[in-house]
Amino acid sequence: MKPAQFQYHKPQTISEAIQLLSHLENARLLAGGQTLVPMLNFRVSAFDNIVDLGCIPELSTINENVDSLDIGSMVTQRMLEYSSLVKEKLPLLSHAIKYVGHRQTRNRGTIGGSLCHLDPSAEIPLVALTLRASVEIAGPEGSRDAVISDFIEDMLTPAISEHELVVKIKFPLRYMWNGWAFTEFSRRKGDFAIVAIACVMEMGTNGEVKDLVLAAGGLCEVPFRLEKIEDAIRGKKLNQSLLASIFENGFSFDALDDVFAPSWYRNRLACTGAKRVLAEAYERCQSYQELI
Amino acid sequence: MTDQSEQISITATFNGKEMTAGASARTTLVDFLRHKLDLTGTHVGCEHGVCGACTVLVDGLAVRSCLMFAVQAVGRQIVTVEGLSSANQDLTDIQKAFWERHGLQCGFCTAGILMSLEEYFSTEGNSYSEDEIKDVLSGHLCRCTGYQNIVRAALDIVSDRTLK
Amino acid sequence: MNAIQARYLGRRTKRIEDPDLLVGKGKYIDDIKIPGMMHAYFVRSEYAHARICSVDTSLARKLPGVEAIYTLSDLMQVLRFDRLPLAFPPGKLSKIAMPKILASDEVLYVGEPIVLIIASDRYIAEDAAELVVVDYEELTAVVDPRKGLKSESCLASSRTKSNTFISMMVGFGDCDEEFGRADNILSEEFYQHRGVPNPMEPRGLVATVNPGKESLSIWASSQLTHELRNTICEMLNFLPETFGLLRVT
Repeated sequence: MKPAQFQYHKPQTISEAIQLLSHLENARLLAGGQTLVPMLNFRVSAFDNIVDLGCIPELSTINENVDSLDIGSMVTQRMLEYSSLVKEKLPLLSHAIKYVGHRQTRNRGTIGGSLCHLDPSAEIPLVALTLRASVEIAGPEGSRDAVISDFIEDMLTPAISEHELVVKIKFPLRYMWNGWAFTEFSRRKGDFAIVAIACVMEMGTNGEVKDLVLAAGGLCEVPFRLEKIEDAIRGKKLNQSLLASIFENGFSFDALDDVFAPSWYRNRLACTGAKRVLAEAYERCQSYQELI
Repeated sequence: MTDQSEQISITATFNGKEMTAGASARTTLVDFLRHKLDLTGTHVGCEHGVCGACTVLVDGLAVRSCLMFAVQAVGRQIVTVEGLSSANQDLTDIQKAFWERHGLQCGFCTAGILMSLEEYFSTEGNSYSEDEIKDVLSGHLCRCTGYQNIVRAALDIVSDRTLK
Repeated sequence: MNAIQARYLGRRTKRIEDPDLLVGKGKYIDDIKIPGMMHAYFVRSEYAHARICSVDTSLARKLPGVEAIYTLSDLMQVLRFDRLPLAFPPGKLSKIAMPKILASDEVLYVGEPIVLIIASDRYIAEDAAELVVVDYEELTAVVDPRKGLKSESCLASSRTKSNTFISMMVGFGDCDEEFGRADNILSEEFYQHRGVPNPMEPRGLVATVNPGKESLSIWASSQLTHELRNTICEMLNFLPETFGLLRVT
């Protein structure tokens, strides 16, 4: 299957890219190509203009600031996987990235590309949501920031116009997450997740959960926080009886239903996954407490 | 290739040699390699990145050449299966291990797997466990061998090169 | 044991083709290049079952690089039959069960080929395919053969009177007698997924007219080369001796 014709552009700076987007008709940004090019090959999509972001070095940097770790949108998943800085500051991201596709697709696939595609089961949007990231977006009117929950507008629909591009994803460092966990159910390693669960947790000096974020991907059309469960745990010590009472009725979200898994099964997987992930995150908190 | 759209000049290093040829913007890297440069060792399977038959090294990294356009290769170092062995075509130790271990039957998926293993064995910091090797291979589909002999061949390299 | 037996019997032997395959010297079907070679591509059905009301190839023909566009009626100028013979015991399956070379009035599955496009390269052939306009009238598809066997089911193909082409019982021994004597009889329904040959190398075929125009050379990624040759000869009314058919892998 071969793509339809298009004009290829490779801007060297962000402003050049913005300029191209503002005057080209029917244009699409090309990041890692691991999602876009299959669509072009199958002619599911066709664009008159393809704007390759691969020649803008500024988009491929990882910068540590006082209060955030800023990851350029064109940073590849491989770069994230092998970054000791990401492993140290954002262990959840470092771990979850190994579940994204395969090594060979991670060598080209980018954090920005995944975030802008917003596949319901993608790990990167789920982790970005869990870590309360924000996105810096550049457009003809200048730059703007968007919190991830606002950026994730709908299934496969980021809140960004066709004249804008994501410059970087900013992960705040101010949260004292000392526990984290991630789990994913898929039929084979590297397959799209049927369901994925992520959690970060902060434990207080008395062993109580001071704060946490628990989120599910692949369950519904967009990744989302399991806020009722978060509220039920916040301020309490995590033990078997608390978990049992929270999860006794299982999950009954209006979950995705398709050839891979019916909705009742996704709910069941998510419920099991959430319990495991909470326990694992709490254990990490405890290990951390013992260390200090 | 006689695709009528405007030809873009592409200069890059292919298997150690700098070469220049023209292609349309939409020509995929795998088609460019196979039809413009006559490097037919790299194969086309699924054309959407899941089978691994098209895997080549771009600047040392194993990537899907069906998901890159030839124009994106400008200025880069591309290595295909033809570039693994030396000029006189002696087999590399990885290729020999595949031969010894019966790690191929029809051979269609082999080139892509050799490229992934080439990257893997050239990278630092691996554990070289069987699980890790399987993880590298999970990006490739093989319909003939059942994978076991390919894993065995890779493990032979681990011990031959005393990596563990 | 003679010298040859001693060399091979009970001994581990490496394959002789591997060194070439390992360095990328294998010649698979898409590696065959003949100067001036054209590329074929099919316009395929988007529906599981539909009537073809019309096919318009006029725009596609105008695309630079398109050499020819054929529908079934074009091909019938050189073909003896309009259906592909399935490998079934001869006479057992009626002709109406055989797939059409190209669909003409009805399509029976998503992907059934309707129009054959020949162009200077694959990219252009696919461009041309997008310009072909097929007007379909969607019909009910029968996708579960068990439901299709019921008398109230729709017809999977409008040309047939029934969805059952042939009824076969396969058995062994005298069941009535043995079952009559048995202490216990166990009856079970087993589900077996459909077996499909699905090698990594995509299916393909290259054909060229040999100098002198008396014969064809054909390369095919197929294991059934003799059957393929015989079928092509039968379809094109050729003598088998005029053929060279090479198995590529």
